[in-house]
Amino acid sequence: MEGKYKNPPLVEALCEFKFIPGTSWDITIPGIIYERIKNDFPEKKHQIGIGITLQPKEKGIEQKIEQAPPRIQFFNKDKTALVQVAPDLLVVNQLKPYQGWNKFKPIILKIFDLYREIANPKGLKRIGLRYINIFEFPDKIIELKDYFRYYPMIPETLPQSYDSFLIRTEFPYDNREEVLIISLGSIIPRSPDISSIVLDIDYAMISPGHISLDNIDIWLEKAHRLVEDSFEKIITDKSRDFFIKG
Amino acid sequence: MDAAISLLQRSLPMFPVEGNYPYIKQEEDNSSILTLIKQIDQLSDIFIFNNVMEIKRFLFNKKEILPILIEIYEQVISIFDKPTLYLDVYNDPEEDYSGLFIEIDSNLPLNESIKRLDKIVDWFVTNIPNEIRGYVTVTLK
Repeated sequence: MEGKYKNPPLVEALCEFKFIPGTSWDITIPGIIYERIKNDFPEKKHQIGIGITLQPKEKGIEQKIEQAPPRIQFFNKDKTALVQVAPDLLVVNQLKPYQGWNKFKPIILKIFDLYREIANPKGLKRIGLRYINIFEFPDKIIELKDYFRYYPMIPETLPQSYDSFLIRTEFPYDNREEVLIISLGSIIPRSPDISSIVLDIDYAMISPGHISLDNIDIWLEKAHRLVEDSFEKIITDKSRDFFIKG
Repeated sequence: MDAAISLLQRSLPMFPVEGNYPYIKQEEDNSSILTLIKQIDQLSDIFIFNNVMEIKRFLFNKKEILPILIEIYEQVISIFDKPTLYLDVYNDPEEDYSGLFIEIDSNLPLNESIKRLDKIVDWFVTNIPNEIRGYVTVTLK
């Protein structure tokens, strides 16, 4: 997925940790983390969660905007990477340009160790390693099967042309304690003359406590291998050529 | 809110509810890119998009406006009586200009609507940064 292609479709790699809390969430934790990572991630942003809900009232349905739990994001200087911290949640995101697994993994481990030291979680509820690719084709109409081996199968009796679509499949691994989630779908194109398809590959541990806090390094290697392998199995040679040639 | 507050300090809202774009159906997304797309999609819960794809594309390319649209929405509903808000994109290829129109539709008499629109405009000029005001217009439908 990285290093092989001149024009790789990878737009974001992220590692998500959801923790089993050791104690109740201490609101000073993000600040302490920031103090330790501010040389690499100096820009702070509070993301206030706002949810739009529809509520039935006497006079009909009323829209209500309400706050959701906030999260704090720490960006690097050029905004190509960020760390997100919220109650019992840690996310490390790498945007374009992705420098490769050998550079991304040490950052994940460094931030994870720091979070562990400061927040003292009891265990892991979920870990996910996720690679999001956006394929941009210079045509309004594309034949999915030319570029992907994973796409919607439409019966001949239905129209063969469609606009937006989504397929999502969850493949169980490791006695259903882990899962590989592959999603392919259409997405808003940046300009009217192109088609954009997102391929999202997420390998996750979903069984709380299945992986101990001490075994993250090994798990990450396994997850990365599976994600990369899945990517190569999903794209066709035509797709490969497209991204090699750029 | 002070007009001098920079765009960076305005945080993007997160929408925990589902949208209507097929890919963006997950309740919570920690991807910064897909969260942005989800937010755009879910703005259609509070605004009517006159040209859905064109507006989504416009917002995708000008992501700094998303939290401001929520602020404008809250301001408008606090001043108008149950308005309907529309979004529309205006393109002028000769001037190489694209702008976003927020159109307020209300049942109020025209004079009253204009009076209330003036209040919105005063708030808009005071609170919304210049670079956003350069391409966003609030008007009556």
